[in-house]
Amino acid sequence: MKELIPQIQKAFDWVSMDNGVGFLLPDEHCPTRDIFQARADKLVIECASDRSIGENAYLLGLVIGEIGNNTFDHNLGNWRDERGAYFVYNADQRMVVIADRGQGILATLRQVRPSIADDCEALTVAFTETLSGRAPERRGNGLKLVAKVVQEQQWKLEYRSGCGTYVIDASASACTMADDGLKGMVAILTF
Amino acid sequence: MHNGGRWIEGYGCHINVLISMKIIMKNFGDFLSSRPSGKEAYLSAQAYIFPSKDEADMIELDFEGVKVLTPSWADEFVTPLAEQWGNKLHFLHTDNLSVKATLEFLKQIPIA
Repeated sequence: MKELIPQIQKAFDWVSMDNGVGFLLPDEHCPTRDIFQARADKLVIECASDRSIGENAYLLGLVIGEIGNNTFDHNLGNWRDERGAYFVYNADQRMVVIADRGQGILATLRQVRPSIADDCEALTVAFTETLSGRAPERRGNGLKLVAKVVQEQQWKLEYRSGCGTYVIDASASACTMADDGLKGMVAILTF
Repeated sequence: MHNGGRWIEGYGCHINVLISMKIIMKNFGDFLSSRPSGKEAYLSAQAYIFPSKDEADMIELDFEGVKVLTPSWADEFVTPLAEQWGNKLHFLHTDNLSVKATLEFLKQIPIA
């Protein structure tokens, strides 16, 4: 991951620290879903007026919407401390960063499939199967379409949760394991 | 000859007509994102908008002006409609890239 880019470093710093309360700036922090959605919609409108992005901005809205709303779907009322999402956009790098201090993918999916061995297996399931930690609710398909759109548009998504980093780009999708675990999630979309 | 419509009497004869209800999706917002939002839209429409099968033969969802449609929102709104109406549920103005991608994706998900 491009850990030198400030927005990415800040995401990892926030998710990794013992207490994340008060670390983020107001315009970086989306404490509720409504605030996240309003900022995501605004980003889509800005990108749509950029000729180099054009109508692909609407696919960007789909991907950001699915990833960001998952933060609230699966962590509402159950945050480690600071609630909500970190959400920033780097125009020069054409990059969006979303992060949260939630349960992480492994913990949510183990609610319904205790046999999941590790973070990489959990991430692979999240992006390839229709399974949700909120079963028996009928849901769990959003990240599948995220993966499809990212590949077809030749973007890049790096999704880190726990020790696993799931990377999707035009050529492939694969997960690698790190030694240190991240409690929560950091997603970096480059488009 | 019967094409799935309903027979009404008029002009001294019986006429087979199809009654379609068009739902303007932009009335729910330009950005149709998140499950809670989709679910709320569905419940509200169920109370005030959706026709019964006595009132209409088909439903058309018109996506003109919708900028973003996510699979989560659509799964809460479109999927139950598809279960109820099957091939009598139609979509209009699906050129928007996210609308097209989401509706095509939902078609691939088996309906329970």
